[in-house]
Amino acid sequence: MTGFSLADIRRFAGMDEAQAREALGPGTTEDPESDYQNLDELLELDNPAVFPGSIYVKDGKVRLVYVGDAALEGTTPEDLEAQLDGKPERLRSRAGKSATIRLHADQGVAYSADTSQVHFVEAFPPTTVNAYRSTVYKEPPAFRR
Amino acid sequence: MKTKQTATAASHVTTRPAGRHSHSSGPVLKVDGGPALGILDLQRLAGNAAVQRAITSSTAGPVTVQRRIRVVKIQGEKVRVHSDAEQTEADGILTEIKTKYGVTADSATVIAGIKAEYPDVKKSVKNRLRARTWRMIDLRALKQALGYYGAILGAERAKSTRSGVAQEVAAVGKVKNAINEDTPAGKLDTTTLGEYFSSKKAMGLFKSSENYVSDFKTEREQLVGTFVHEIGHGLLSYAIPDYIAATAYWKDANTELPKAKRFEKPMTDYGKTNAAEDICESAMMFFVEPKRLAKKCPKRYAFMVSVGKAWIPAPKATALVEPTPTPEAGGTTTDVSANVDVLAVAVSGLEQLAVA
Repeated sequence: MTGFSLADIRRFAGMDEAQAREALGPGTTEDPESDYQNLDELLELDNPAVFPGSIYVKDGKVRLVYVGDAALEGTTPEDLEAQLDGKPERLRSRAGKSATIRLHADQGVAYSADTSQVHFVEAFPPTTVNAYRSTVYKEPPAFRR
Repeated sequence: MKTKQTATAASHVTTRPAGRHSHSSGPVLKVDGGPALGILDLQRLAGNAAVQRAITSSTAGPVTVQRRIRVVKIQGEKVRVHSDAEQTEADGILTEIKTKYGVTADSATVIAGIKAEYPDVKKSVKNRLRARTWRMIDLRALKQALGYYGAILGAERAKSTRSGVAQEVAAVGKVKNAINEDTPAGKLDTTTLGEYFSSKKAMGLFKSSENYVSDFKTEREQLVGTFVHEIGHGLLSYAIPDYIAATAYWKDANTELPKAKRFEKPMTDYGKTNAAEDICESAMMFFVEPKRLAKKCPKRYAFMVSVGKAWIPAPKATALVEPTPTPEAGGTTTDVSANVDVLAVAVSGLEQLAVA
């Protein structure tokens, strides 16, 4: 695995806003009107020099951490599964028709992948499959072409 | 001509005096004792020459003509043709797309692509994947769509700014079904129109595309659009980072910017799925209905113009050849203006926008 640590992203998911700000340090940009999939009214914190993803905060707690494809080059589904327990729940992914989101809800991790690459990784406080589906996940349209 | 006839669907058409068919005032005909047919039906079945013969002979009593719809094997692909002329045309198209654009018609490669990119689907499902017979309207649309990308295909690619990168689309096929998802529950689907398989550099057209019209007025335009979209998944993937920067809608390839920061919405709702679908939808509209894209999505239109210009600094103004409309097309014709060299159209449209 190169340039990305699942442990880092999971560590952020357990923080409150003050801890996240402190971890990101000076130079952090913030957007108080952000949203992500089904989550809205979020505060987004970014500092690419420190962390290659976005931290989404709501009500003083980190609700979700997102890392996109640019930081995931070389990362494989096998790399991620080796750091997680159990069999993931699989959901359709917005990244493509043959891609799926592999959801480890109880461990607070979801990622999208197909045979060749990982598209994005999300970390969040541990939850249930149903709660993830209803609060975070937005089902993509049918891929017709 | 590398063709091999595999089947002939011959039947007999008999004419009788006019007067009982609801949508024809000419001679009325019967096929093998079936329902009465009109002139248009006969044209569809047997071509204009047969109709002429039938009309000429109708006053002298019943006449029998040979129905010529048949499935032939051309360069390894099955094609449904209505005449020898169509068979020759189909062979010409398959030869041209191979020699001029470096794209081989090979449905087996598409099936191999599906199998490779849906590894978690049960073998019993994947073993049911079957090639589908091409129709002439498919092949004509394919040729037209490849023509739009002609500057970066085949030998022309070596003269373009994409010369250092291997061509991302090398095969095309027609397959009956796609697969709906890569999970053990995956099954054959009946809704996918087309799909690109990067592992095989191949794009597939599926049965669902037949008689399907949604984004455009005619099936021909819809097919051209579907091909343009799928080709785009291969040929335009390199441009996605610049597209994301230019359109200010995407945070990255798979995630939208927050609502308050999104600038211009994608051309279609489907384009909101991810940046790859967005750019392919833009390409589809740019090549098939450029004015529509220019009006609704000027940033996307401008981006497509810039991409085309970057391929060839000095664009040619050669018109693409529109094939003669045939009975199988149901009388519909493609807007010829859409076939004029796309870069010329694009630049012209951009200038009009600037004036407005």
